[in-house]
Amino acid sequence: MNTGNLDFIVKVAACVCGKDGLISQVEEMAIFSSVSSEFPNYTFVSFNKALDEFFDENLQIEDYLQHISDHALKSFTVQVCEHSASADGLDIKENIALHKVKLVLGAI
Amino acid sequence: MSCIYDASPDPKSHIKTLMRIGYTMPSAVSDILDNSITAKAKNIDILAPLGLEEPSLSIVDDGYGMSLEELISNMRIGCKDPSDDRLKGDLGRFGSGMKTASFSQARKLTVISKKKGEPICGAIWDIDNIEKMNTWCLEVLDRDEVEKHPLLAISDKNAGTQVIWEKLSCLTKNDHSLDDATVMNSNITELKRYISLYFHKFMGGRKGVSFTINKSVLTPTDPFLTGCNGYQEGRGEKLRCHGGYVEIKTHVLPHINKIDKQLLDKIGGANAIAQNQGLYIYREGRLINAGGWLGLVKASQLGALARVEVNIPSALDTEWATDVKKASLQLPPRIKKELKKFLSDPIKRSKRAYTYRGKLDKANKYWDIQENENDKTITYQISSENERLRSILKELPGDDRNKFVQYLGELAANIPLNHIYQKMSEEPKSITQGSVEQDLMSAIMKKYFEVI
Repeated sequence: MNTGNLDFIVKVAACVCGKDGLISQVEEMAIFSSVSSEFPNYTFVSFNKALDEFFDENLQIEDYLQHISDHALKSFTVQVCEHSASADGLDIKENIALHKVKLVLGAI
Repeated sequence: MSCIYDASPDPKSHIKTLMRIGYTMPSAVSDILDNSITAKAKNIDILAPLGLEEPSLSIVDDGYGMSLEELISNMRIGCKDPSDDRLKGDLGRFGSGMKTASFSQARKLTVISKKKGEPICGAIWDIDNIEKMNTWCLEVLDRDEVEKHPLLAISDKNAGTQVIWEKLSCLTKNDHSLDDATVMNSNITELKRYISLYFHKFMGGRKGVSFTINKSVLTPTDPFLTGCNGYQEGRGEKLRCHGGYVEIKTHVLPHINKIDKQLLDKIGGANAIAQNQGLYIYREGRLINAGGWLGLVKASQLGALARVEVNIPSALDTEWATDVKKASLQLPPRIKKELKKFLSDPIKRSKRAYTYRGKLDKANKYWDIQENENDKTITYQISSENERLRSILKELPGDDRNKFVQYLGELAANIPLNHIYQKMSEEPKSITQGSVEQDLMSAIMKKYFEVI
């Protein structure tokens, strides 16, 4: 698996969790555990790097989603977003972002 | 067609504006200390010799120091772009702090610096000269002039920087003012308190920075009293954001009676405990906001022990609206929302610590012993659980019941404790309570009912 794709999944999940640019530690750990449990080679260093990039970039959720084209990865992305966003209680803004992810990735 | 005019500010007027940016003496010195910490200084000495005809104040550090080019660049007001990202640990922001802080306290600012591998160098901003010449005339000293400076406190062998304030405007006095030495002494006392609190995270430990004022070493003031018996650490959270993490930690101070008197004095006394409840916001480890809830909740006496520590990286300066003095900021809406989740817990714990009445023991079925650990008091109270008392109270009509309860309260409040203590110490066997019930009954019958 190309870790670049996983970075995009992490960034999509960060968009969903990081309402107003803040990601709680619980959510952060939930994103990493979801991705690394499926892809054990994905390291914490790579994960941290992806999150640092996310905060330095000024991109929208759609910009990241367009890089996820593989069908299996699409459903995995939705799964990661659902797991991480609900880690410390899903609020309305996260819910809207999650809804958008599902719409764009064809999950609803 | 429009055209562009050069409308640069008049130096003579502009300098007067810069002198009134609103620093206090401690906040101005702190701005210079920020630069020393950014320059990785391990020792920072503040020298303000008392009793001089022309008082001065020097801040001397052993940080990286500057070359002549760097010094001239840093002497320029607004030498850095506030929107640039700062490195972790960089306490600067606007590139104006050293100059504006200095101009608020002194009419003459001299900076002498030595960088490894570079000659010692120095430059002077003298407000009198700026006003006289009406230009930004920075005076750059030659090596000989630097080495002969009467207040020089750094050597040309080790790296470091010395900021010297002369012609102190913070000592300007009117006819009714105290003398220079008294004003300076009072300023220095306040400065010690301020630095010990605002820079406490940099002090102590192997990697700590040593701060001295007139050779007296400053010790850190921990606003959360974490080492004190009775301190409670509450829940915390780390929120990832641009430039690092926002860290939130909650603390509950020990009840006032559990705080050592010396320590209590150091943090400002009992009144300060209630006044300083609230948010403690640190920017790169340097305290910016010491207490107050910034509108999130109302301060209350019962919440006096609650403290919420917030650590933010300097990358968030724009969103937190940090000012030039780095002495105030505004909470971004998104942080307000997150913070609100953490406020109820320490306030609730503080209330509990205040209202906790201590443990209740039963002396016998008639008396309770109430030991209050907060107030260090013991109260002997008539037991409200006594079955006979309850049945009597049930039978009594409302008014009589109230009078009777009031009487019992007065009875408990007026136990002759001192006499009991004295007799129990001297001749305990002489006390006999065995027949009091019978004696009381006889006395009442005789005094009231037989007479009737």
